[in-house]
Amino acid sequence: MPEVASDSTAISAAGAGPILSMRGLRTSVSTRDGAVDVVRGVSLDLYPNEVLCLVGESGCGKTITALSIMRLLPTPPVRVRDGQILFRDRDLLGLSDREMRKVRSEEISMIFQDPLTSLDPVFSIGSVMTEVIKTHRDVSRSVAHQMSVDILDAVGIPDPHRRINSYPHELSGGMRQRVMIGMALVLDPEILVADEPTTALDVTVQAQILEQLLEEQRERQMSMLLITHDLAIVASVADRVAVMYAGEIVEEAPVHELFEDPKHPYTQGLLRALPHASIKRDVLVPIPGRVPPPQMMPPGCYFAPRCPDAIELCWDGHPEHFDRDGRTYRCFNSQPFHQR
Amino acid sequence: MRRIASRTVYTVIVLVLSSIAVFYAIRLSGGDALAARLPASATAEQREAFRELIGLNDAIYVQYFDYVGRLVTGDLGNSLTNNASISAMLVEHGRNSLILGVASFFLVFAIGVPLGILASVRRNTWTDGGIMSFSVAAMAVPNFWLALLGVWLFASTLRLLPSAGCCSPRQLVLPAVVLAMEGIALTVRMTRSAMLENLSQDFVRTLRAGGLSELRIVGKHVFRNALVPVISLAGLRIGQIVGYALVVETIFGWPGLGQVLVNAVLRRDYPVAQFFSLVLITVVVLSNWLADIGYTLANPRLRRT
Amino acid sequence: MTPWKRTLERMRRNKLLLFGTLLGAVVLGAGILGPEISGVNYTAQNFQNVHLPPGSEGHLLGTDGLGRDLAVRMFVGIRISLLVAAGVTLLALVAGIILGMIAGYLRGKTDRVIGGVVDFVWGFPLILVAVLFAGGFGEGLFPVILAVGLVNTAAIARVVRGEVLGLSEREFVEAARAGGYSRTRIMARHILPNILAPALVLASYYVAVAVIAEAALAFIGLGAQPPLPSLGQMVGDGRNFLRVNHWESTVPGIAIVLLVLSVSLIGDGLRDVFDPRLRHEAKGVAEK
Repeated sequence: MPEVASDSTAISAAGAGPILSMRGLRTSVSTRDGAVDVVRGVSLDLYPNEVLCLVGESGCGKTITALSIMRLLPTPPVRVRDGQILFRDRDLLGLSDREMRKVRSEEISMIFQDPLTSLDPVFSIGSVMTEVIKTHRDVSRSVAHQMSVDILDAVGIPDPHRRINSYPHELSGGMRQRVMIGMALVLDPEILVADEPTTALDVTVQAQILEQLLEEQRERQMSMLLITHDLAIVASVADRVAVMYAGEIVEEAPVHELFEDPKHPYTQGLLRALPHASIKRDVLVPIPGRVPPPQMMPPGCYFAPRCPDAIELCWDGHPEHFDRDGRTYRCFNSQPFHQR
Repeated sequence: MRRIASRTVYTVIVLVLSSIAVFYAIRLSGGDALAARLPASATAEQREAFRELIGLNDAIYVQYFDYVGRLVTGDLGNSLTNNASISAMLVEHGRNSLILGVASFFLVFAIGVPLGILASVRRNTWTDGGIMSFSVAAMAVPNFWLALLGVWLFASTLRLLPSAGCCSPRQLVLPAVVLAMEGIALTVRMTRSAMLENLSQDFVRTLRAGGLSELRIVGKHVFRNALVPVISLAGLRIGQIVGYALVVETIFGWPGLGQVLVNAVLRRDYPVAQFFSLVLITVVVLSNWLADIGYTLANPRLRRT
Repeated sequence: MTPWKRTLERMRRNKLLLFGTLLGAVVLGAGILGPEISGVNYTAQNFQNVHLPPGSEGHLLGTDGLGRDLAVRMFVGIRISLLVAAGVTLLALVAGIILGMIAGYLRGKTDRVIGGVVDFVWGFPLILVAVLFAGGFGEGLFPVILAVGLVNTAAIARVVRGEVLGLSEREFVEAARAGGYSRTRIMARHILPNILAPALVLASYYVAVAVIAEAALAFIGLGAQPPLPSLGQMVGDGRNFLRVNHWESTVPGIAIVLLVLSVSLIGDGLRDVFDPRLRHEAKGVAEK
């Protein structure tokens, strides 16, 4: 696939290195029986001006990865055990709380799944937005208010002058998520981390919100890490995709490569389970079995128990990332798909 | 607003019903029997006046409206034991009760809320454990027993405070603290659990993602959310304070409404008992109503419906 | 493990519950067996031996102002406190569950009427209600029992109603309804078993409330009337002799505190066992 190769070289040729770079991130939950890793050595790069989708089933560690970046993990019991998160040559994990607070929403913002519970119910949206602005910028109340109105207008809230005095419960789900987006973007961050931003919304609203997110991403030239379990969303918005399974990235590829030629058996399984996947199949095939609980991971490949193409090696050794044919995935069996 | 209106209507209905209930209660065991149980000090005229007062010859609803009519015109009658004017008693003892009640209500929240916040912020530490143990102990110790301990320790042994009397600030300390103690314990628990519940809410994460400081998040947002149930507790506390005042005022010889009511019941001074029952019930019902309004105003989800 | 076994296992491991039960057993034992074992008459007066301190010959805990044995009076007092509290709570439990179930399951007008009355009664301070009743019926145990019973019935009915409202939306109740079972049968067979646990937990709290209320009323002279001893009344009688022999107040006072403490610990323990949601809250927000 020559065009794909030129795509990825285009990024490096432009000279821009990753804006955010995770190296060997390990996050663990302490339980009664000791600490259990839920993110197991994730290394992932986010480049300027791209949309990177992190995909996987629920419980695979996507959200924990995102919260690790923001340092918003519920500690205890969840904490980053090892690794680095480099943002502009600074390791976010090494920043003081004060420095990290400056990074949040000024440089990296995050929006969450359920916009109802994610907004403070007893304050108007305007007062919270003004508070966020005034925390970071030395501006007057009226300037902060104007900034809030402007951003609400920009993210598609009709009549923002009036709406800014609303309380979360007075807004529809879609409007609430727009408010969340506005609040996240009001300080013009370089990175937006969006954790399942449309999952809690009606299907009709989902598309609008995604469209809004993409529009903002393009206009502001920012990078977006979008976390989702929905491959349809991935297909429509992603530049690049990272597939996560049991706390690991199992495959990473530009979006059309991934959909045209998935390398990892898990990715293949996900695509087969997708109704309108580009792979031509007559039947939907769900992936058999379930993700093993974190404390009961098999010693070899974590996916081996569910993998249709597991070979003997898969049960003994744990696969590292392999770069083959310009593709990166974590599998011993180099030709699993074609063998079938 | 509609919620406030409907609660107001409910409150008025409750007031009317409870005044009827008190009125009937006084007649429950039969008017003549009651008249016979008047204190020995009651004169023949007073006995006749009492029979007249409870209007044994009229239909009971007539008696009720008669009584309400006299209340409205301010004709509250006199005590059977010392012939004191009930309206004068209301003014004097009401003022004393108000002082005690306001002081202990203030203590409940001025101590209970900060302790509850402290326990929630330092949850599962020794501080938390200490505060919660105090709260369990304070609820297990009945307030009359606490009153005796207080008198024994601060009045008899240390001689720091007077054991009884009214109404200097030094005399106020012991009764106010004793009256507040259970409320403090409950407020600590309630504040702590409301704080913890809100600390684990998603919106806290959003605010952290917005870069706000932990002090602001906990001190302003979480606290403001936790305040909603605490406010509704406040109104109920007024009611409980009224109830316990009956005991505490008696113990400390604090001449308030509670003491008057208890003495009237013990001495079968029915006009006094009936009137002050009504007064205290009104206070309780109105405080529940206030709590409801406060709760509604504190909660934007209810405010505009 | 069956759910019941698991519950029993949790109960066994719960320290609060264990300690509360032990303490309760001791106090209960003292109340039931104490008067029989000591064999002393609690009304027997002896004006030669008044205000004796604890440890005096023949009187383990001393005597009161009429020379009556404090220990046996305390035992009988515990008995009365427990009888009143347990009896009242049992009545309140039955009445509260019935009212709450009817209101919660039938909803509509029935709910509004029952709910209105229950809310009204519940908002009332117990002591005031008891004093009002004492005004109507004269002092004694009866107005106390009536007041505590009424207010606690309302408190239990409120909670039961809320639980039932939640339960009647659940699949198994929907299924029973679709299966054409009668209302009574659904309430008795499907709803009742599910509200028993929360109602019992609540009831154990109200035992403590009842003990305190009875003692407070007796203390100001409105509860049990002499010569029947009651813990609150004993504390009240003794307070005039604090300088002479403070044990006359201290002994029954400690008995009340232990009684209330054991019942509250049992309540807390039961809540931990039966309500996992609150258990998490108690532990912090650890498991998310």
